[in-house]
Amino acid sequence: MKDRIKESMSALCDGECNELELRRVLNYVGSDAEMREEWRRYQLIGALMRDEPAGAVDLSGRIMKALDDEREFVDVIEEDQTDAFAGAVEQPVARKTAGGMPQWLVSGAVAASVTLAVLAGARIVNEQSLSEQAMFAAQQPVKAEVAAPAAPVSQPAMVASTAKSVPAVSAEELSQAQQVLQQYVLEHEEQAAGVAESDPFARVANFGQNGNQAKPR
Amino acid sequence: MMRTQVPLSLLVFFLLVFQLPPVAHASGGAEWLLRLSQALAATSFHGDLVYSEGDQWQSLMISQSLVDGQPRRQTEFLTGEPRQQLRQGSTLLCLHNGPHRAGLMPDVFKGFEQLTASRLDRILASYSLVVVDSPQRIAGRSAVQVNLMPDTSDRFAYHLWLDQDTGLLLGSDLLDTSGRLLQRFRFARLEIGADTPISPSETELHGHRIAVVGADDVVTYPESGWWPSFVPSGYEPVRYARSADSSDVWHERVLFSDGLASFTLFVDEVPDAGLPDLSQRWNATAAVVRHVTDGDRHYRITLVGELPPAVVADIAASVRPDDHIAHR
Repeated sequence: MKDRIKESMSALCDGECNELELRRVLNYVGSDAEMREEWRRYQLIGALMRDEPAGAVDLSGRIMKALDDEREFVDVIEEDQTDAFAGAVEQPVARKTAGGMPQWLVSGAVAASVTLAVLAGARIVNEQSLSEQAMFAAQQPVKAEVAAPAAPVSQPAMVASTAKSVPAVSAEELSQAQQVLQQYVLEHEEQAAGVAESDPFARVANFGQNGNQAKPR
Repeated sequence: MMRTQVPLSLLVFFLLVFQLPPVAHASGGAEWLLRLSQALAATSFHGDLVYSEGDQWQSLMISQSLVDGQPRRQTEFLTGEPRQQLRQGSTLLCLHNGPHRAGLMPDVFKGFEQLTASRLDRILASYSLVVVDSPQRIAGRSAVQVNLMPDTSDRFAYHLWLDQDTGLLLGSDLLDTSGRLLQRFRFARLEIGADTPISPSETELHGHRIAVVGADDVVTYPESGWWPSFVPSGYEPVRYARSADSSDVWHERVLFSDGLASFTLFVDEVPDAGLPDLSQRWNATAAVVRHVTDGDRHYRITLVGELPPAVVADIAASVRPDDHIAHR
């Protein structure tokens, strides 16, 4: 594993390291003294090659932050593109290409951001809260993304267009929808707890009824 | 630049076929995961632990004994409303006031029990295992840290701390794709090998039953149904059910798992699309609800799982009728 990490470090110096490799390097560096020393050596070599002062500054935290911000940036792009459940068919593709950009371009953007963090001191704009507010409302009662009732599955383009019209949703409807969702989450928890013998397509004869039996309502 | 691939599946094969070496000699991440699973199945212990989700902390007391070679685990939640859980074989018994709610009784060992070769293979296909090379200590015991780093950014990472002597799980962190902590637990005090007396507990006498999936389920394979056209790599359907209620209204449930994390797809025919679409997240769990029509029928598509919210939304958005599921 250490050899693999060293290869990734070397790839990082060569500009060939992808984001996942980079994260793995940084995580490993954070937990292994020997690799941390190796990482410092690579940084020192990099600084000397760039004719910079060879100070003992560990840039791993800064790089990780740049990566995080880049990820949030990509998420925001996706959110802008997909707006609730619009573009039902295209969303998985959108994730792969991040806002319509090819994957290699996204990787290039990540690499550019990391390079910037290393070379120029990383002037970072944190989009985190924006992204989270846009996408999901953690720990909040509910965030309703309202499409037109029953968007036709046979017309994904229509789904996309109708999703932009947001009819008013009453508090009562939201509350009711959330209660229904809670039941689904509970059922998922119960079924996931039974992931033991994972025969593909093992049919649970009373799947969906177990939960009902279980709840003393 | 040369990149080497470690034949981990080969290691798993040898570990399962041949006698496992003494625990103290375990070194690889896959071997430690197997030790962990074995320890949960065959170790008696008693201890107190702290568990957190987001900024919410709870303390729990867990006792496990072996009854006819099978673990019998009693969990008492010491924070918040009084509640207890007893797990034995394929049965969960819960004791608490009011209805059973999502998140009421978190399982700190979820995903690491009954680790079969096929499940371990799937884990190894999606995560890189790193055994951290530094001594650690939890609950007064020497611990080995094993990190499960996802190979793709569409799932969460796990940091585990295993007892050096027995392989028992002493603590874990669940981290999102940005390294933010989603869930954490740590034993504060732990006695291993201490058999607690077996007597009917309050939970056993008065708790309500939750049937955990058994091994004698009928295996089926759907020819057609609602299916996601996008599923992150490594996730496979592990359970499927389709049923009609007394009103001839269809319900489908599919559970997907990558060996550790899981998500469930629910498809329910509904009389109309009266409820709004929703997206919601509770720390590690994200859920999405959308409504669609197919001809003159209305359906509610719900996806719930321990995945990044954007991934859950992607999967939910890709669900549509498919006449060729069996041929995938």
